[in-house]
Amino acid sequence: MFHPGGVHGARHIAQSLHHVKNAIRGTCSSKLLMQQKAAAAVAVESKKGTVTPPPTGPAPTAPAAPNSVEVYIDDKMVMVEPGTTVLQAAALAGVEIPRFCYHDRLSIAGNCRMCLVEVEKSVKPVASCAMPVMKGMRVKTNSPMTRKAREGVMEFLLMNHPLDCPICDQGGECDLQDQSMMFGSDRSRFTDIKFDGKRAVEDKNIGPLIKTIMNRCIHCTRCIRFGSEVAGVDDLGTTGRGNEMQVGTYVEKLFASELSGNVIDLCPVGALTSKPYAFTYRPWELRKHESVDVMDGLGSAILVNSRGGEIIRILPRVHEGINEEWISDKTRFVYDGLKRQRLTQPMLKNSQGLLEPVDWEDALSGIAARINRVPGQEMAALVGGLCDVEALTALKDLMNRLGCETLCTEESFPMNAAGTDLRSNYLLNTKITGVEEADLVLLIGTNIRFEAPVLNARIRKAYLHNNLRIASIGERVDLRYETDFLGDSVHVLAQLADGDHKYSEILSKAKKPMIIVGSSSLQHGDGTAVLANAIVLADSLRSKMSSNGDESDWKVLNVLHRHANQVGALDLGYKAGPSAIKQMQPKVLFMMGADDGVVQRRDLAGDAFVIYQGHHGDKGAEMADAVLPGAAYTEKYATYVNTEGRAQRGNVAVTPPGMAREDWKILRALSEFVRGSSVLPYDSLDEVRKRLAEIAPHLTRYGQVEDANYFRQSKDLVWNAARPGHSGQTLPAQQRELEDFYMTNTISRASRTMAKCVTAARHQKSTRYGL
Amino acid sequence: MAGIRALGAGLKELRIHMCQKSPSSQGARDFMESFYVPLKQRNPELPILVRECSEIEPRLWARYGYGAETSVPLSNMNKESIMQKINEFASGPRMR
Amino acid sequence: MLPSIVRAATRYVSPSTVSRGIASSTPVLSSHLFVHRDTDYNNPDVPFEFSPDNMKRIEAILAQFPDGHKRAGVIPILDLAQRQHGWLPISAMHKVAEVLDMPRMRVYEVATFYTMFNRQPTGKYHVQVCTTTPCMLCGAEAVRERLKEKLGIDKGQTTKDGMFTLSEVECLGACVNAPMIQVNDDFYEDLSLKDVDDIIDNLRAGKRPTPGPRNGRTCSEPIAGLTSLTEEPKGPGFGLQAGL
Repeated sequence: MFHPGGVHGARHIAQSLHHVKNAIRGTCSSKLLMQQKAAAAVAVESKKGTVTPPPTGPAPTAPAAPNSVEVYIDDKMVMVEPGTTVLQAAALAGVEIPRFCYHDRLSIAGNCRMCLVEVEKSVKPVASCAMPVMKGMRVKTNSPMTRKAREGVMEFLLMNHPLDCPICDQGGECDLQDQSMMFGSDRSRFTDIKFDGKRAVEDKNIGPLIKTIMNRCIHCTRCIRFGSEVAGVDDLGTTGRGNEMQVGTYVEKLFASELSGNVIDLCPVGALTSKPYAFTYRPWELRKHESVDVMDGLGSAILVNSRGGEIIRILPRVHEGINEEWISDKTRFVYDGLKRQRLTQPMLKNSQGLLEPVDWEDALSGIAARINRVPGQEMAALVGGLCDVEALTALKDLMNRLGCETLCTEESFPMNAAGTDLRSNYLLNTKITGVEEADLVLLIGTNIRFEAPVLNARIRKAYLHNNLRIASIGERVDLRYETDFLGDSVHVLAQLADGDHKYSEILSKAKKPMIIVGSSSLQHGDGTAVLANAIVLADSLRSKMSSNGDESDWKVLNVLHRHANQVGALDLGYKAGPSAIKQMQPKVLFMMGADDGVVQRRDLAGDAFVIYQGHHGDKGAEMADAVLPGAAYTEKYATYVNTEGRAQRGNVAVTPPGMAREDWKILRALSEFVRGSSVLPYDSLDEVRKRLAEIAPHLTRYGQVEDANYFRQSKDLVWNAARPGHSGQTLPAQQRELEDFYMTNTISRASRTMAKCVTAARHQKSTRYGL
Repeated sequence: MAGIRALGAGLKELRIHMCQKSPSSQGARDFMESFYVPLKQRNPELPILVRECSEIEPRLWARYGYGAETSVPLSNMNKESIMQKINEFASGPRMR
Repeated sequence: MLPSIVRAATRYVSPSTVSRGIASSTPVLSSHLFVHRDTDYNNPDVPFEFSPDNMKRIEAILAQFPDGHKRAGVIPILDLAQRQHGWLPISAMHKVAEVLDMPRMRVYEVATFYTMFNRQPTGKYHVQVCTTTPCMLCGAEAVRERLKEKLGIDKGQTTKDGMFTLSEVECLGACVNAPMIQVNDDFYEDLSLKDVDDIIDNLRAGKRPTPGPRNGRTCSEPIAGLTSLTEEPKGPGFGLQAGL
């Protein structure tokens, strides 16, 4: 398929495009109008007066590569790589050509014809999205022929398009509306409505997330290309031809992809809209808040739209380093879980053993009273995966001041050998963009399709464009691309680490191999063996690379975390895994957001006092004696560290409900009540962040990934100790099928939309059409 | 190797901040290359958190019980002096 | 008088201001449905397997295409499936997708694009009447009506015994021999109404009538003898200059 300039070229161009493009929706806005005026002004200026030579020198954005080709867009010269299309060259020149079917992350279709521009010496207008530039090409994007072509195409598109604007969800952010205002004719000639009328197409049911009104479909095929290229799920297609053509699934089938919600963003008209938030808003009344997603370990960049103090929708933000332009369905639709099952009042267990709402002062003093009775060595803290780094710091500081050293995360990580000392042991070291440079990826014990859907899409992109070879060890799952399945237990990995497996030769020949260890495989008994063998294997591959003369900084070992803030907790020095708590049987347990149920009442001392601080009433609050309501990720200024080690800031979109407060503030207040010199030394967010920098300076370097090194040291520590034995059992994938994807954390378990998705996925699986 | 010993239970956590590339952290990086592994082997239960970040002043932090902490900059120190500092810190917090 | 003229003039309402009735939508241009609805005769459980002979044919077809491009054989293989089964149930499309290792949707796309793929049960004899201009001028409409009477069904329908399906199709390319019909793969041309009856009776009896023109000529030559090309063909070099 035609992909100009390769993956890197397209990415470079896409980056420049985003300076001129509306980051959320399609292409056109008043910015475009200004661009057009500017372009027209440039064209006019250059024609004023006598013959003025076109401005020489490279265009502002594209650096002159040695074999650049010069193109004149409206008499403005740009130097572009050969293989760029006219549309991309025009974007570099600052002129945005209208289009419906072209999308820079999908293959070129060329079927909408809206991008027609006049090229000198060509009789017919040229589809700029598909035409590669030639040396000396002169393109006119505003000539009478171009304008007539655009008006004509727009007229044709509108002929069969229903007059749904007042009831269409896309109104206000609709490409068709914007482009018809800017490029279409101002009057209609459509009289056929009195005779045959407009085409009517039946609506398709493709799931509880996407509402389809196929009358509005303009057959741009973006959704089909997305499904087959990015998501790898070929459920959508075109049936019939000509006026009878319909876009749909032909049979009644769910669009069974974890990335299905992205077609809502892609569809330029209101044919595919969001079912959960249908008919609830217009885009101009929403407030935008940039934030970070916590549903998985990637920390995708999101935009939270709110109106009147409630979240209306979540959209992706473009971030080339993490999620490009996609977000998973869980990220997109989970916000309705933020309104249900919320903890809104502090609660204490009364004498009857029931949790009773109290006010903050009573709650904190009651808790402090119990804490003060217990020495620090008999206390413990357990944190879940959705807590922000500020809260984790406050909790650690508070517990340490009370003399408690047992602070654990629910998610285990092998603590032997170097454990969490060296960041390189537990980060995605090659970074997410490393997938695009790698030539072999070995996945260990991870169903990456459901644990990190956007990363899976990127691997699929590399598989399609860069011939990436992917091997997998662990339970056999369908990743939507072909993998070399090596085996399902640690035994295979141990053989590879020793160089003893049939595949070892292929591995050692790879120039940029990546090993991705899924954190789900580190949770149970064989976890230590998995990581140890992975470290040894990575080290041997690295030394082979250097002996082949590779001087680069390429890091082979990567760990993919499933929880948003596991890396943050490990960076701060939390112990990974609840085993220390279970050994110690504490008398006071402080659970912050710990809802996976890894520690039960029976693991604690008989009269243990459990404090739960979190935002949803889930398993943690059920076993608590005191409940402190905290804020969810959209309700606080928070720092989250993703699996690459990138610290990112989330922002407040709405205020926490009821009497809930930000987590670190609760801990700061609690510190006033407990014994001794435990008052935490910070009173404002800036001071907390200064403290974060004292513990780990990268936590305040927002948006950057800091390289972690010392792989050799980690391997030496693992190697010199006895290599852990293993049981040879299958490394289970904790999310096997689509129905397992939707409800994995406390927010998604509370969401009605996610429940509907699970039902739909189960139902689809039971039909004869399958998933 | 000289100076590497079990550091005792008073020290709860050691944190080493360093830059990956700058010359003032060279000593810290050498320390990691040479002394980290034997130190960790002598003290397997002690968290020695190594946190790299670009363009920072290298520092050594030591945390003791009940939240007491001390720190010292490590700029331009060599690895033996860093090891010595760690040994000093092991004996307890001191006002600096 | 003047006011009445003015009144009459104002009473005249131009067509563009006539109040709109309920707008209709475009009549469907095809009698086929482009979405699939499961019925008891057409669902994924309808048994369909390629016969061993057909599997051999499939291998021969696929051998024509380079490695990794098995999908290119989807049209001939769908045709094979249709010939084997009579029409294409959805299970046949699934089988083709499995044989070619391609996603099912891609097979659905191809099967719905081409009108020759019948996605509804078709009779043993698919009688297709051409009613495009040349045939129409030569009486195809009478042929069509006669067939409707003879078979007792309307166009697009199948007889109850599953023997005949009648459909009206576009130009079949035998315009000189108009009017004509196509039954399965055979053309019956230069028809008179009696010929239509004969053909149907023969088919009912299980005999295959001789395909081709029914008025005595072999193919498209003029029935009253050749009006051109009446001389012996000129030899090579005719009309060329002597120097060549």
